[in-house]
Amino acid sequence: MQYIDNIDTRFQDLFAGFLRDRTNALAVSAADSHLDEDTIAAFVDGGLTLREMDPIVAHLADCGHCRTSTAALLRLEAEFADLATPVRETPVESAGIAEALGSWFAKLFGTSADGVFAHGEKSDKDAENDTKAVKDGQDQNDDDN
Amino acid sequence: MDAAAKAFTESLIAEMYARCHESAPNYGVSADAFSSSIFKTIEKRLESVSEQPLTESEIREFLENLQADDLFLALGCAAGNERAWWEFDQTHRSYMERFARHLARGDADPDEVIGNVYIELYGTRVVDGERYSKFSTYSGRGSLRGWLRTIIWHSVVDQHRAGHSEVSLDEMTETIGEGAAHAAFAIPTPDGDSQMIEQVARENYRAATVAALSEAFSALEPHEKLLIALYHVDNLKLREISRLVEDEASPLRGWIKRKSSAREKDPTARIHESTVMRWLEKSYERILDVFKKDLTVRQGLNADELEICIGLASADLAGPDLYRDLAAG
Repeated sequence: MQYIDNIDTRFQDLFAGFLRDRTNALAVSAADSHLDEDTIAAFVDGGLTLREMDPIVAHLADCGHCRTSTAALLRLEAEFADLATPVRETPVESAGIAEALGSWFAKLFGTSADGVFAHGEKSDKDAENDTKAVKDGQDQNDDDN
Repeated sequence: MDAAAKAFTESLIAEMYARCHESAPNYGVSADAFSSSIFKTIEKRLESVSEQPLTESEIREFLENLQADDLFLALGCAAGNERAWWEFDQTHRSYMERFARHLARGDADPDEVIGNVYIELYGTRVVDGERYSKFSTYSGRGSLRGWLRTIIWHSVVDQHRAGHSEVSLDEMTETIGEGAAHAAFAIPTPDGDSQMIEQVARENYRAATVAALSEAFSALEPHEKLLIALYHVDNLKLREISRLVEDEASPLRGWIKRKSSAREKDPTARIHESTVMRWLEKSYERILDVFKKDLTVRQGLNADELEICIGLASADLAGPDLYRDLAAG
């Protein structure tokens, strides 16, 4: 438990417990009206305007379920920030995922993933980006070596 | 939305569409689909939340905050466009895999998580004769990667819960342990007259305390409730909370500042952990003040009895009884 200076810690414990119990009580009645994933993601991302914020903050103040998701995503965002990557990547995929995606793309577009990508039209800009991505990948490999 | 506001919005959306279409002409996203998606979000997030008519500046701010390129890509993927899917896969799959691995930490199968997420994104369900793609729920209000993190997180939680049906969401995320430690008053078993009298007295103080806590809680503004709950119930660190508000452009920061007249004097001041701490302290001071006033002024308790109320509660932090009372009340 973290404490705030200058406030009776017994009272903080008491009030925190009150909030937890209140959260649980409300969760029973509000189970069908949670924020959707898009809303939670936008809130965590900070992409909402003031007008959009009022009902969301009011909901989060009362709904422990949504607040738990929001708090977890806030933590994850901070943890994962160090692993941020360039926008375009040359993925190193595991065999399992590659296999799963291959069969998945086959179901999706009636062909293999390679086939889909081979048939995908590329603009000049895309081709340039791809060349750059490959070059970046090579540079990265050089650095690694 | 009146005709003028609608025309203003349509002109801005048309400019955004032109930019997006120029960057990605092969995604197969029509101007109508793009515009319709944005108007739907405006209706849901701006018009339905207030009776005040939308101003042009609010519309402009909303559209400037929109992740138009991400939305354009998502709309292409939702429609099953191959080129859009190719771009999505190239741009985001590796990131999604790393995030899933980071999140799963040996508790869930990240490959299975990503496989399930891809299937969900494409959509296997048919509603009214049309395939339902998860992408159609993305509004562009946050980044696509932030949205993907949320989808993946829920998928990992679902997978975990499927294997641990008795584990709550809270316990799984190890954030707060709601349901584990309740600030409640244990009810002792009566044993003789003196204990019975003592129990009646305890019950009276207990009821008085719960009523005072409810009064104090209702005196808080929603943003104060949220900050306190994030800190003391969800156990977010001050640093994590301050991340929400440290950016000067953060709408939540602006929202809190708008709600707090004391900070209007210096609207550009940076918000550090110490600032969040001060906000929390001020909120707690107010709660404590209302709590004490309710017990002493409204309920007529003296200072000694007030101490008894806090002491009783602090000594009996066990059992779900308070929850029971609140649910019943």
